[in-house]
Amino acid sequence: MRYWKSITIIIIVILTFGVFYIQAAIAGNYNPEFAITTTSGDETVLKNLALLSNYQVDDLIISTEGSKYKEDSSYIDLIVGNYTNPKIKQLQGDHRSFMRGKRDISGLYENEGLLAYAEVNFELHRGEASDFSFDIETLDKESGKKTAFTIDVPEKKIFNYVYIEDVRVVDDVMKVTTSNSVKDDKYRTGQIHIYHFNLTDQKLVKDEIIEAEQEGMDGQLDLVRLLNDYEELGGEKYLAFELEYVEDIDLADENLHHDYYPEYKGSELVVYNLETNEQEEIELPDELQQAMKRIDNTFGNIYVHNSKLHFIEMTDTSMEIMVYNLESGETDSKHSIEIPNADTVMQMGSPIYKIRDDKLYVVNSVISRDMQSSIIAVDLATGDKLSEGSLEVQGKEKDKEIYNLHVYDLVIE
Amino acid sequence: MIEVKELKKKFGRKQILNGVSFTANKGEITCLIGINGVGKTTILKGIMNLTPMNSGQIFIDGKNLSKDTYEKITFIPDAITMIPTMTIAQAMQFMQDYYKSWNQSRATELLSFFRLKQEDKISSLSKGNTAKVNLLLGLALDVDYLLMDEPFSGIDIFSREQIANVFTSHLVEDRGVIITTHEINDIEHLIDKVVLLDNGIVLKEFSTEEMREDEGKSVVDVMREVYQG
Amino acid sequence: MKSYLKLVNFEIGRFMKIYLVLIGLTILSQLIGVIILSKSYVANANEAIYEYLVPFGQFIEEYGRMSMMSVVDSIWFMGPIALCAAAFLFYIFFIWYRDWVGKNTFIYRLFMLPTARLNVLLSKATTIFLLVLGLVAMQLILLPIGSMLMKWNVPLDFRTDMTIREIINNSHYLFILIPDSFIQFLINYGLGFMAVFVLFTAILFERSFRWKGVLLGIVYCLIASAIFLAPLIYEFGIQASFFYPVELLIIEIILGILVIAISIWLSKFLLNKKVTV
Repeated sequence: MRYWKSITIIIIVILTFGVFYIQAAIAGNYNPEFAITTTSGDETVLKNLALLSNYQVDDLIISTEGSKYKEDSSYIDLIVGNYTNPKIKQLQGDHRSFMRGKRDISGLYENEGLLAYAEVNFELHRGEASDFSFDIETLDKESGKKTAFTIDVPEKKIFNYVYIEDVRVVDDVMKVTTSNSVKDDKYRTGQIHIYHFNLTDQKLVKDEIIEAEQEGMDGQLDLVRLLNDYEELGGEKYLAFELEYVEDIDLADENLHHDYYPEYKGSELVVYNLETNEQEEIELPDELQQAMKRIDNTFGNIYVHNSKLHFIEMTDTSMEIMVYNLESGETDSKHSIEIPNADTVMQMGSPIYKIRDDKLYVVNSVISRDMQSSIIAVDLATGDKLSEGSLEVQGKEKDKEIYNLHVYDLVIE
Repeated sequence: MIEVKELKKKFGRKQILNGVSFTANKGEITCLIGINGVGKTTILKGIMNLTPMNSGQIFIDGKNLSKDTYEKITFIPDAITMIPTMTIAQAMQFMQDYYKSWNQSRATELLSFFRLKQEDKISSLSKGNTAKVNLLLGLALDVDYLLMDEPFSGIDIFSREQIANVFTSHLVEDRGVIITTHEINDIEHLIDKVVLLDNGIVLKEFSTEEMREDEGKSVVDVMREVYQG
Repeated sequence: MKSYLKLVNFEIGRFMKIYLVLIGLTILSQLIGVIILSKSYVANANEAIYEYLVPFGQFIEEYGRMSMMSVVDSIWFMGPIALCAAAFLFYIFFIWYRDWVGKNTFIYRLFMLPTARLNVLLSKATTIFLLVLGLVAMQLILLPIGSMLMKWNVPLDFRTDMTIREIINNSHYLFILIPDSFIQFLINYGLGFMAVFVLFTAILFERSFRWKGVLLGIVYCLIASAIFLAPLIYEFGIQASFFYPVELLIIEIILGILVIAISIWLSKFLLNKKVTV
């Protein structure tokens, strides 16, 4: 046999790779299988949850049904980035053509009949952006009719960047909230603008800035933050902004340590009514003022839901929820939800919060196998804990060493 | 019949062939004569499609060269074209693997005729023996046409005799042979047809027998006339 | 077809000696590496625990457990792989130029074979492909052997055992050679195959037109890259993600096949009409 060398190589190649990949196919992923298990409370509540997570280097989605690893992540995924927001994914499925190239959820607005998108376009020259303009597109879901127009950002020359925070459409007027960085602004605070576009005339009709009067607040405005959930694409009546103040010092002072960060002084809240186009500074009750200050240093957060502000705070033993009604200007309710050894449970990383249909869902962003209650669902109306859940390792991997699981998003279906 | 029509070939700015035409018949030995660098080898390579021509046509039995033509025509260059680390036996095996026209009994016959040992490595052979193996690999193919490039250059006198003997034997009989040479002496008595080349063109194409009978001139006489006249 | 297979076998035979040397070096280096690294880890542990009386727990905390990862990321392991990679990169060129070396050379013989000249090219490409796969297969066989050697040399408490897949996926480079999924495997080696065909075409340009051919070859490589990367350049150039990932994947597969087809077609043309011995 003169061909034995070649034949040997071919047989070795086929056998080795064959065994390797067939074994891989049969054995499936060697990673452990997880599932959400309800440890107490209503079992149905956690049924519609899905945790988008990473285990080691692999992506997986975990629900009460079990876990599903994302297979065959290809070069394209690596290059393009494989994380797509689930809401965007759903919209891509429903409106494939319109959603082409639209990956920023902040620029999207949706109601029953309309899907709208705004994007800021710019020229990049030597690392500097210039020539900002808005690209605005709408889709009539019924007729499938699309419109698109482009409008220059007013006073575009004075900005370093223009970044879209939120898009709303009320009565044929699109209200685009942007965070703009102004050139020659020594504090680099930036401005929050709300641009109004008449969708019928395709014209810019108004450009306003979110401002506060800075009463009884010493220090320098450091940051303006939109508190609305970026995944909520329509329906909310108010936009709420938190204006954070820090001590007023000259950062160029040479006596300062180079990574000195100015001390946080306090916040103000400004609420923008999308229907009346009025902005109003909210005088929070003392209690909420204090809570807001604490939240700034902990893993808490403030959310807008159903025209109410929800102040969520984690303490050593509990989760504190205070609800402020924007319509009435009063504190609606206060709830304290006991969490067993909350500090150890929550210390692993900042929790992920989601409010949907008056229910608050909380999930740890890092989950180890010892955690008893890494998932909590709370009824916001009553403050009752609806259910608690944890992640359980399934099947034969049970006794193996399990690394920490990282959750990067929470989907409620 | 091999027909070469209006071959033109440039190397850089130098026009090597400038419209070369001739024919070579089966059963005849045609000799391309010219000084070194006149493009004789290039013509043979052109016939074998081993180097592209700028223009011109080549027909082998009326057809263009295709892959199957290599079973009908072979080229014996002036140096061996086998991997030097191969033994003669391996080289013959290689030929047998790819050529239907390989004739192993003829190869064996040539082996003993040239007194070569098939277990010898090509790289270990003397110059003369290497040339003989080169010849063997070409001659053992049952092809209609043989192209030989300077089969006698740089070879010792005894090997030359052996090789010359091949031409008068049944090994070459009935085949069409084109050989190139820059010195005619060794083979004048063997050749049937002469093509005289210079400056990229054919100066004269004639049959040796006719020339001798009709004009009483030898090849050398004609050469003297053409090149010096 | 028969000639093609014979040529593949022939080309494999011609590289056998160097190939076996590469395999031998890899086996020796990787297995010796496992033993040396295991032994030095154990020696280190013994010294710490028995001489300096470091508690076991503290030792593990400071030095970590021994695993195949420290072997795989060492020069003992990467060295021979890099050597093999370099050897094959070199061989892509050498597999052609070798046949042109000397006076009348072997390329005369190859081009006068009564078979399509394209078979010569295909056999050379196949040879490189098969031999590369052979090396990777050997790596796949060496990994469990290395694991076993480490188990013999390092006590259970001091080591972390990993499956072959875990070793591959946690390594910085092995996952490219041996990807998790078979589809990814096809993509990776498809890309490699495409690169080989493009380079072969460039080499044939050089062999056909010499100095001018070098330029043509480089231009061809650039054009082929441009064709293949066009959608990605488009995506990033205008910073708009026009295509969905799955569309990009399909487009890239089509473009990859297109580049291979163009390369083969051009090579065939050059081999039949332009190449000179």
